[in-house]
Amino acid sequence: MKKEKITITVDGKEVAAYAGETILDAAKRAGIYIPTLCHHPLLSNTGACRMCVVKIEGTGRQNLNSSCTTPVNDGMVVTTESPEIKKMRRLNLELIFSERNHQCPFCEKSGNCELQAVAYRLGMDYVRFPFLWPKKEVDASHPDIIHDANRCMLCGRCVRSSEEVDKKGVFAIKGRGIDSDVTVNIDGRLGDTEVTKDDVAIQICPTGSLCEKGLAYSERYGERRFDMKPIEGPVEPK
Amino acid sequence: MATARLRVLICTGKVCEKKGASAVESALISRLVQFGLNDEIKVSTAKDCVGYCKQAPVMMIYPDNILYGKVKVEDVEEIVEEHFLKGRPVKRLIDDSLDAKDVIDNMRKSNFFKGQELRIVMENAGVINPESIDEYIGRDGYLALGKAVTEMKPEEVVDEITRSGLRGRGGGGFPTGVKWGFVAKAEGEKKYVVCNADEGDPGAFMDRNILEGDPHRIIEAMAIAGYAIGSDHGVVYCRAEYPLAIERIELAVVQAKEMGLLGDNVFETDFSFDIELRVGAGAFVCGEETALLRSIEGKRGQPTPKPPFPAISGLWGMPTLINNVETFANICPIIRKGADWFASIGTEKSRGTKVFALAGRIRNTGIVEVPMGTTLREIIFEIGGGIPDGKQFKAAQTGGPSGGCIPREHLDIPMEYDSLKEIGSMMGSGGLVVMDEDTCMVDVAKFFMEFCVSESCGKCPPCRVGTKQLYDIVDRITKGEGVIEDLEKLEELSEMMKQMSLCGLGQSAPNPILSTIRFFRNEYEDHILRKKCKSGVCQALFTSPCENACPCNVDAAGYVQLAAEGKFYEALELHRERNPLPAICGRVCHHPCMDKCRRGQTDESINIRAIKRYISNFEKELTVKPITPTKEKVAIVGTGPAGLTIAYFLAKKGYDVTIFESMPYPGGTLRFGIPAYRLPREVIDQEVKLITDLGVRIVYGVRVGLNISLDRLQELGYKAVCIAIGARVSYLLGVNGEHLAGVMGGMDFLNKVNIGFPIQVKGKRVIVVGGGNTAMDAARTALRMGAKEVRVLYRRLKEDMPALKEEIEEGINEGIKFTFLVNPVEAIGEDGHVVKMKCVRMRLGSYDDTGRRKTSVIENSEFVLDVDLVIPAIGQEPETNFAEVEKNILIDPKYRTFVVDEETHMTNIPGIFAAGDDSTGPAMAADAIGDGQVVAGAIDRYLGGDGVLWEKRKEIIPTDSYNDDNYVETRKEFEQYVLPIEERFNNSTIEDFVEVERGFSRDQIIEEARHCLHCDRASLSCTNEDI
Repeated sequence: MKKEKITITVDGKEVAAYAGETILDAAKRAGIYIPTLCHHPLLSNTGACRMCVVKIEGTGRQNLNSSCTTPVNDGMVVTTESPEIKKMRRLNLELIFSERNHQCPFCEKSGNCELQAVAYRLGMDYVRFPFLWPKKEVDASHPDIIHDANRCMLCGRCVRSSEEVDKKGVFAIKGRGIDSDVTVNIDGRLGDTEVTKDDVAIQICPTGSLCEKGLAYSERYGERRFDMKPIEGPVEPK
Repeated sequence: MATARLRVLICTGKVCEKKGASAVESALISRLVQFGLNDEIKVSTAKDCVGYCKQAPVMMIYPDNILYGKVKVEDVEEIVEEHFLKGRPVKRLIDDSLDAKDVIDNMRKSNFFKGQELRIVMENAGVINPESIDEYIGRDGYLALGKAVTEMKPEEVVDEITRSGLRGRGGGGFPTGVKWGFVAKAEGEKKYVVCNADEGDPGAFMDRNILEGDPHRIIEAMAIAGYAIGSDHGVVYCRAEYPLAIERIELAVVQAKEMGLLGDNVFETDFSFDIELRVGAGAFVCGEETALLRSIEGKRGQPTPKPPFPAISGLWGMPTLINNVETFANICPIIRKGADWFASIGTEKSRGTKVFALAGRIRNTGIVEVPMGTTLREIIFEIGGGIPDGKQFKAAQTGGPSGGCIPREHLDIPMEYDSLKEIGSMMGSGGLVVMDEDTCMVDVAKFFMEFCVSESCGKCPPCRVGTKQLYDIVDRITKGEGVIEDLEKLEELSEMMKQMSLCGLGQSAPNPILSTIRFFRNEYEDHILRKKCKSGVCQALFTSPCENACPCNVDAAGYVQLAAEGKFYEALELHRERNPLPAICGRVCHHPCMDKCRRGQTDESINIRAIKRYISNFEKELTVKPITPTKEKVAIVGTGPAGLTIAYFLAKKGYDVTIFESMPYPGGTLRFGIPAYRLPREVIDQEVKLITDLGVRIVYGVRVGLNISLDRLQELGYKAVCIAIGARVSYLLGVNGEHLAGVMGGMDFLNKVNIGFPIQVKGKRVIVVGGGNTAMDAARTALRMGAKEVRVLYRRLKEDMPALKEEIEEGINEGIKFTFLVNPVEAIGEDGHVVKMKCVRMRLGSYDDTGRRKTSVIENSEFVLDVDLVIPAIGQEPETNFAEVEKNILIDPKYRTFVVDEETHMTNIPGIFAAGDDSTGPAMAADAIGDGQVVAGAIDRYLGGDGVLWEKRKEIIPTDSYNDDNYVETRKEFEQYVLPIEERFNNSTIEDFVEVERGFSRDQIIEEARHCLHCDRASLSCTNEDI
């Protein structure tokens, strides 16, 4: 079936789009960067992290919409970046950083971390809120994987990829609000599951929450993924 | 249905049930059987709530329309014998706000029901048995469904709803007909109708009431919706906390199916519709439509982004119509009576009625239904009966955790979607929580944030982390750890959450914070800058509620506890640490401490003022050592309470203080405004002596501005000059003839009398105009001076009088006559002297912001009173002209008070301060002392000091008498010896006025003080972990 072609306006620029695709996909094709964290092209979109929010003009609504879940309409006018939107995205990052332990110098994902890279790209260089420092257990039961909930940002990528791509359904979200957590087989240990280090769920964790054992600090400073070039989109699995 | 002579409905709603409705019901039934009345009189065994929870349990008798309130099992016999047998209604069970003549039909005459005569949603409330489909049908039930499926096309139904102007009652206010139209047009192999019965707002119980009271109404409406949009399947999503609602919906579905009103071929047409019930586990977020749909699907109850909207892709990805309970409850009447009828009710943009759950600090709690656009004032004061215990209204909270607080200034707001949104609140589902002066708005914001933190689903960071960070900031503020930048941070973060959160919960979660900052910023600033919670809620900020309420910050809990131990000297010293005038305050203070005393919530407040007065007796034996001044010279103008307080604190700090007093005696308004029968002169002299003993000089007979100029004072080396001259000029009435001889302002009269100026009162008829303390003082003084008759005219009612209650009562005892609801309009003179006063009668109108009713003149109601002396006591202002003339000191043009800087308390002239009534406007003695403390600190800071006058107590007072039994023990009568009336008038001069209140005995005081609840222990333990 041929997709219907339509035109939308993104940041004042006319962009060709296919009916039914998301604003994020259309913008990406047009070379417009919208920061994302929970979105991944291999997975369904949930609009959870709110980084990709954009303003849809002329709706009369005050709130911003997540571009990864909002389908385009013909003639739609979208603003993906303005000082106001940038400020709010930074504030959102401040909240994420304040929630758990996201201290980059002490994290083995540093330099390869999407959260860190997005923060750099958006210029979020300080957090004005007190760090909440919840004490979460580290699960090192798996021979090849470490699961450190202290570095989790609850994007849900592991939950979705384990279910949708790996077809193992190992991860889930438990609890509610600030007490939410990624859980393995309902309070189980990663070592007791069939997860392997090559699972997409492990590969595309945007933070240092799910890491492969034995690789810590093996890349030199300057050679890591985001050392040379700012982030342009979600990392791809190996 | 068998024909019955009378029908009795006993409310078995939650509140009535709790208060024993079932016991009343079974007692009634057995009594009716005993009298053989059980065929004649039908008792409904399961009933619907009428919403009049204040009078629970309530019993309604039809067709008489009589409502009995607070019915007990013991009352049943009387009801049966008197009312049911003899036809004489039992008057004593009728709401006491009504006259006895209104017994028949009292339901509709009470204010509670009068304001809500038109009921749409609740038309069957209190009328039918919700478990009987027959009774529902008897009230036009299923007529609308029949009409829709047999006479109307689906699009006509949608059109009818659209034209009615009905908007979603769940809170958002989206036009219902438009939504129906969307779903009707949407394409899908199956469509669903969902009823959102997941009412989760704290304080909201409207939907529960409808579901429990009239379940068929919802079922019928859902079937109509199904017909209109082309769906054959409905789901009611009800929270598990509503077991009775669930039970009744289930029963109603079974009944409707049996009658062919649900299921296949409804009304023998092609239309089929079935309803299933899903029970939610009580997550607040499941009231959000997308989360609700996920929950029905068996998934984690988390919202999904919109678009796609449920109308396009809802339950199982199919087009889904989702409306809340109250919205559905409006559908049948619209179909039955037509869109035009419905659209004629309410306001232009909000049609129909709205149901509110009235809760909080309000007399009549319960469910009310009013036309859209009814003002908040009407709902609270007319229907709700106002605020109990004589407290002041502070704010109303609508929309639950998503809504905002509406302050006093907006009491006239029409309750409709758009106007509420404009002021930062929202209609929400209809929770309406009323708050009084004892509510701290920062604490309210904290409460709602706490709710949002625990109810956030956790999917998106703005809500998950944002609510937590907002809560933490507000929590710090309530603990006195806030900084002023926090307000900016709160606003910035709130704004971001509103725009970026995924669903409505997160987008509206900051509303309570934003609206409280918007309308009650001063309370936030009090907490942050002054570490003060004026409402006495945030425990970490004060030692005890009584101390917190005291305008002079006296550690009342401390001296009360010491008094309980018999340690009266220590108690006195503790008192004098903050207030050097305990004997004076022990007699004339308006004791706000006692209004906030927590003991008052159990039986009666501790009589703190009496204890204060008793410990002050020990001042007679107190000696103070003079303090040699080491610091700058300070001049104070006036020896009133403010001036004396400043002198006391500054002298203690080492300043060289001189007070200039125009009169030959000290005391200011205490002496020349308050009569000696309330405050004997030797009491003033004794306390002033303790201040002069410290080294404070008082120069009598020097009037600053007349005998010496402010400039001269500064030239003489006074580094700071503080003007504390009180407010002694009486306001005029503003009527013709008020300049006649024999018309004299209240303060003017008291001043002259107390100076010893000869005023002939003996044998005269005196009229005092006004209801404040000055009016009562003037009236009682005139009586003591031999007036033939003293009459107080007041334009409102006795309960509205601002004077101290005990003063009014003593005035009545002494024989003062009162005429209420009158206002003088003209003083009529003969030969230049007043002889008559022309007055008009006033009528009570709507309520003002303080909860008192406004008055207006009744036309042609003039009448004339004979009079020899008229004393208008309607207010006073300070005499500040001299300062304006001499130094251009800024004066408030309206109130004639000095304009002082909020922080430095200095006038616009450096080094010149103002304190007490001349800067705050007329207030109480304790307020002047409190202002004196603030200004003493400010002067100290101005002259280079730290401004600290005392240290906050950090430890509990070790007491032997502290005992849990004190909490529950019954209190002994606590009555003081009061001078018998006949002995009060044995005076020859005003100096002989004998003190009326004579205080208490040592044993009485210890007994009273022992009942202190030691609230300071709780507060101190918030800040001090060792306790």
